[in-house]
Amino acid sequence: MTRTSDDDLTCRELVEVITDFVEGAMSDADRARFERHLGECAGCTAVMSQFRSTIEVTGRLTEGQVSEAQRDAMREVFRRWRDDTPAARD
Amino acid sequence: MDATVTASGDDVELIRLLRQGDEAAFMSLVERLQPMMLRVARMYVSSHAVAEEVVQEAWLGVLQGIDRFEGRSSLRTWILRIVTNIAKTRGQREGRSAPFASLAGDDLDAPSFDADRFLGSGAWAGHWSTLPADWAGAPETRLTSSETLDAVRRAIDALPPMQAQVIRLRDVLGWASEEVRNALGLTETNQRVLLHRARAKVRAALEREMEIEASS
Repeated sequence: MTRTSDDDLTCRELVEVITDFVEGAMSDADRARFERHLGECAGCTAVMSQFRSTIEVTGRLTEGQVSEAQRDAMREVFRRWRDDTPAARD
Repeated sequence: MDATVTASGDDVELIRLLRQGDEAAFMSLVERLQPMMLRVARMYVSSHAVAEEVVQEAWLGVLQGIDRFEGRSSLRTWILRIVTNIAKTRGQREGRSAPFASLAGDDLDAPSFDADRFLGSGAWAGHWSTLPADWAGAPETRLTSSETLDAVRRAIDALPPMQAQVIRLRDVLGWASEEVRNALGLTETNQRVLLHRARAKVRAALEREMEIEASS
């Protein structure tokens, strides 16, 4: 990229506001500055893509499993509640 | 900005079934939400056993309150909010204080990349000293191998608790930012800062993993 003015973001600054950018939490002026830098910088473009990959790979994880004991305990909570409040249930 | 997240069509059906006393509907919610509920409760209370009690109390609260639930948030947000409130109260009774700073981590202002990744001086100060790798050029299998997934899991487990909960809810479970804010009682800014730190650290862990695999 070509350095144009002191108003431009540096790469060091850009990487700290990537989440502000992708979450849509930037002013129009900041967004324009961000996009201008990105359009001219291969390094920051690669990092943006790394963040996207990070989100995608994280999305392949699964949350933990419920243990059989926990499942039984919660079923018990449910049945006690249902039997205690018959008037409200069909 | 995301639009207000209220009860979805699926939620409306689930709420109807719960109100009717449908056990299968309740157990499907337990399967989906219980692991996250335990993690959130564990942030505020002293042990896993107490966290299990909190979650049990929260489910009873959900059942007792379901007739009054108005659907102004998603069902899962409302349920996690109940867990958070009960866990905080229980933690206070235990004499345990869990200030935001200790849950959020003390590294919220830390840089996402090491300083030596950028030029330190001259007209190009603050620009890359060496260009970051383009992962799109790596074989697809490298990013999705079980070793890589394990590295991501370990990186998340190592995060300060609130950073870990935010990235799990947002990126593992796919919740909207507004749902996460409401469920965990975070401001919009806090949620975003926590998410950024979490993603930055998982990205760094992935980068190390990609380098190891590239050189082996």
